Amino acid sequence: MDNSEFHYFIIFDTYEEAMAMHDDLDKSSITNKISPAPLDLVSGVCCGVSLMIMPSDKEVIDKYLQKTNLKYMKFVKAERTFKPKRDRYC
Amino acid sequence: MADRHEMWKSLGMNIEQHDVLCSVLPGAVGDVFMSQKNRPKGMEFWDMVVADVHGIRPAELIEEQKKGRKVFGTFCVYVPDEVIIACNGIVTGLCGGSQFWVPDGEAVLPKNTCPLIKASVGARLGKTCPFFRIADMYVGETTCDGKKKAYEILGEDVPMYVMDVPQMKRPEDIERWAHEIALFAKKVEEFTGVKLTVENLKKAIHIINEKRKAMQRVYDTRKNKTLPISGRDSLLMTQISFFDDPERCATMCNKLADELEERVKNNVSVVDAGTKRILVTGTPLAIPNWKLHNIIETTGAAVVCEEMCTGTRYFENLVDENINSLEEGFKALANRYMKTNCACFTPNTGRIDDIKRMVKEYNVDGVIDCNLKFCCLYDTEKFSVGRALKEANIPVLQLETDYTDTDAEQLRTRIGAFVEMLNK
Amino acid sequence: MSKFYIGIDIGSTSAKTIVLDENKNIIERILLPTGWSSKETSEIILKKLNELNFNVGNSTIVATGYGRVSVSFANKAVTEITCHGKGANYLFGSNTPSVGVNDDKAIDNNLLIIDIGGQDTKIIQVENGSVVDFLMNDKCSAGTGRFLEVMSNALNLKMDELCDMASKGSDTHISSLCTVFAESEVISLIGRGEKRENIAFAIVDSIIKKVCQQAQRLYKPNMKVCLTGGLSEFKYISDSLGKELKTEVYAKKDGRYAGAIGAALMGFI
Repeated sequence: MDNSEFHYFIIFDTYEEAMAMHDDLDKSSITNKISPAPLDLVSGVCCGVSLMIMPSDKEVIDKYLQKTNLKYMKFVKAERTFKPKRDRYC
Repeated sequence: MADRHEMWKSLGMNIEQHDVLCSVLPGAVGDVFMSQKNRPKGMEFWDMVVADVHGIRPAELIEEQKKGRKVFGTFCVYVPDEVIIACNGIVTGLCGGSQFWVPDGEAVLPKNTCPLIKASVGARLGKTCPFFRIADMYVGETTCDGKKKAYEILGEDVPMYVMDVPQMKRPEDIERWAHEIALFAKKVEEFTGVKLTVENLKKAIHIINEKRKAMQRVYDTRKNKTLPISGRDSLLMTQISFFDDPERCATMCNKLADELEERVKNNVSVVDAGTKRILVTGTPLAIPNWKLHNIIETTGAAVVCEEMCTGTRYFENLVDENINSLEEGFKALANRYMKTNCACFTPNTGRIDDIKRMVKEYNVDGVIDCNLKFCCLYDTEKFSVGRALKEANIPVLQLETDYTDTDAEQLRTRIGAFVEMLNK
Repeated sequence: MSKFYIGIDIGSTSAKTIVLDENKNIIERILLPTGWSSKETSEIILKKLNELNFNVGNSTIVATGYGRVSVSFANKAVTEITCHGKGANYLFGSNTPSVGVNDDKAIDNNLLIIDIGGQDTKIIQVENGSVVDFLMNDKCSAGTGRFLEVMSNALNLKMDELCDMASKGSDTHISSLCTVFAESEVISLIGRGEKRENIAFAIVDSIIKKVCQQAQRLYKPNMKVCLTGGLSEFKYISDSLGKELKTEVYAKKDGRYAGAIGAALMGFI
C-alpha cells in the first residue's frame, strides 16, 4: 500500500462476504488488500477479515459501495502507517 | 454468526487478555506482509486465514466437533498425522510463537526454558488461544527434556498422550518407532471410536503425501534464481499448514505453486537481481514468530529455504502408499518419519547433509543457523554445523534469540554485517 | 572545492568522527561522548564539521555504530562489523606502511581484529581487506568495555590508572562473568583487604580471558591480531591479550577510530 498515514477499512460480518467483495473489487481494478480488521475501532462485532483501501480511492469506493449489492457492515477510517522494520510481532 | 467473542467465551477463554493479543495483529500483519511489494495473488488465502486466525479455523473445528469428530493438538513433526486422519480425527498444531504467552508459561516453568515451550504452556494456562482450548487431546513426544516436563504440567489440565521418540536411528530404533505408532493408533481408535483399517490408513497416507507434495512444489519454485515468493510469505504458508485441513492445504498450496511456476517462467521476482539468498536452519518458527525472516528481508537479503520443522522437515520424504496390512503401514510411517533429522537424535549428521544439499538445491549464498534461547540441543549442534559449513566454504552466521523484541537491533547489526559480507 | 569523506561511528559510549581527504589521508578526528541521544550527538557533530569548514553538502558521509540510524544527514549507514574490518585494514593491513616488528605482507592480508566496545565485543576476520567471518558477544556486558568501566568505578580508578595498577598485581581472580556479580565479588575483595593492584589485575585478567576465549574461535596462527576500540590506547591491554593468545597483538593510536575510518572509506565505494 502507499505511505499514507491512514487507510480505510471495509468491515464485514463474515469472511465469506469479505472475500466476495475482494474478488469483485479486484475485477473492477480497485486496489484493496485483505487485512486483519481494526477490531479496536469497531464497536460491536465483525469478523476478523477486512479490506483495506487506499485513501486516494475513497471517492471511487463510495460510489462502488452505493451501487453494490454485496454485503458489508461499514466503512471506517483508521490511522495506519507501514513500518516494515518492525520489532514486535504479537 | 461472526460473533467471535461468543465463541471465545464458550471456549472458556480470557476475553480481555485475548483482545490485547488480537489488537497487535493488524499492525504486525500490515508491517510484515502487507507492506511487501508484488506479492503472489495466491497468498490471499493465507492473508484471509491470518486476518481471522483465531476465528475461521476454530469455528470450523467446533462445527466438526459437533459432528462427533475429535481434535488432536500436536507439538512436533514426528507425530504421525496419518493415524489421526485415518480415524476421522483432526490434527491441529499447537506450538506457541508469541511473546504474549511467555509470562503465563513462566508462572509455572523455569525462566530458562525455551520460549516455544513457555508460550505453549502459557497459551493453555492463560486461556488466550482458541486452538489450545478446542483440542480434545494433546499429543506430546519426547523430543526434548523441557517439553517432557511441560507435558506433565499440561497433562493436569487436558487429556495428554506422549509418544516416546527414539534418540538414535539404528534399525531397532526404527522398529521401536513403528511399535510406538501402533500403540498410538490404539489410543486414537479408543478416543475417536473409529477403527483403524488398512483402507482408511492408506487413504490418510495419500492425503498427507499430497499435502507434502504440494508444499514441496511451492518450495521448489524458491530454488530458481528468479525468486517468485518472499521468505516471509512462504513461512506464513508453512506455519498455517499445521492448522489447516490437509486437503484444502494441498489445494491452496498447489494453486499457489501454479502461480509461482508461472512467475518463474515470466521472470517475475519479488527481489532485485543479485539479492543474497539465505537458508535459515535451526529451531522452529511457530506462528506468529516472523522476527528472523522480517529482519533478514528488511536488511537486503531474501530467505529462500527453511531447514526447520516449520520448513522442509515437515514435508520432505513421502510415506510408501503401497501397504497391505496395518503392520506394513506402521513400518512405512516409521521409515518416513525417522528420516526427519532433528537435533534430539544422536548422531544427527543427516541434518548437516541436508543443509549442504539444500544450499546447492536452493542456490544459497549464506546460511543463518539460529536457535531459540535455552534450546540446548540445537545450540550444541551449532558447533558441528558451523564447522561443516565452513569446511564446505559456505558462509554461516550463528545466532540465538527468543520471542522478545529487545535484541532486534543486535540481530539487525549481525545480520546486516553478514549480508554486507556476502555482498562484498 | 575539495571533497571530503566523513565517517561517523556512534558507539554506546563515545561518538567518533573521521574526515579523510580524496587521497584517504586522515585530516580530522572528533571524539565526543555519545550522551543520552545519538540524534543530538549527530547534530553536534554536524555543527562541529561545519565550524571546521568541511563542506558537508559536498562530502560523502557514512554512519556506523549502534546509533547509525540516527545520523539523518548521512548518505548511507553500514554496520560496525564491516566498518571496523575496513578501518582496521587501513590501519594494520598491507596497504599501509609497515607497522610492528614482524612485518610480513602475507600475514598483513589476514587480520584478526579484536574490538572491545562499550556494549559488545567483536572478533572480525579480514582477508585482503574484506570481512570473511565475525563473532559478537551475546547481549551481556561480560567481556565488554562496560565491564571494565563498572569495575574501575568500584575501585575509584580511571582506566589508565586501572591498567597501571593491574600491571603491578597478580594472583587474584574473579570467577563471575556477569558484571553485576563480579562487582559484588570486587567489593568483597576490597572488604577482605586485598591489595588494589591485585584486584585491578583480577579485573583486567577476567576480561582478557573472556575476550580471548571468543577470539580463539576464529584465531589461526597465520593471522595478525589487532586491537581496536577505546582500549587499544592501553598497552597493558594489548600486551595481556597477546600473552593469553601467545602471539603479538598490534595496537595503534588511531585504533579507537577504526570504525569511523572504515565508515569514511565506505564513502569511496
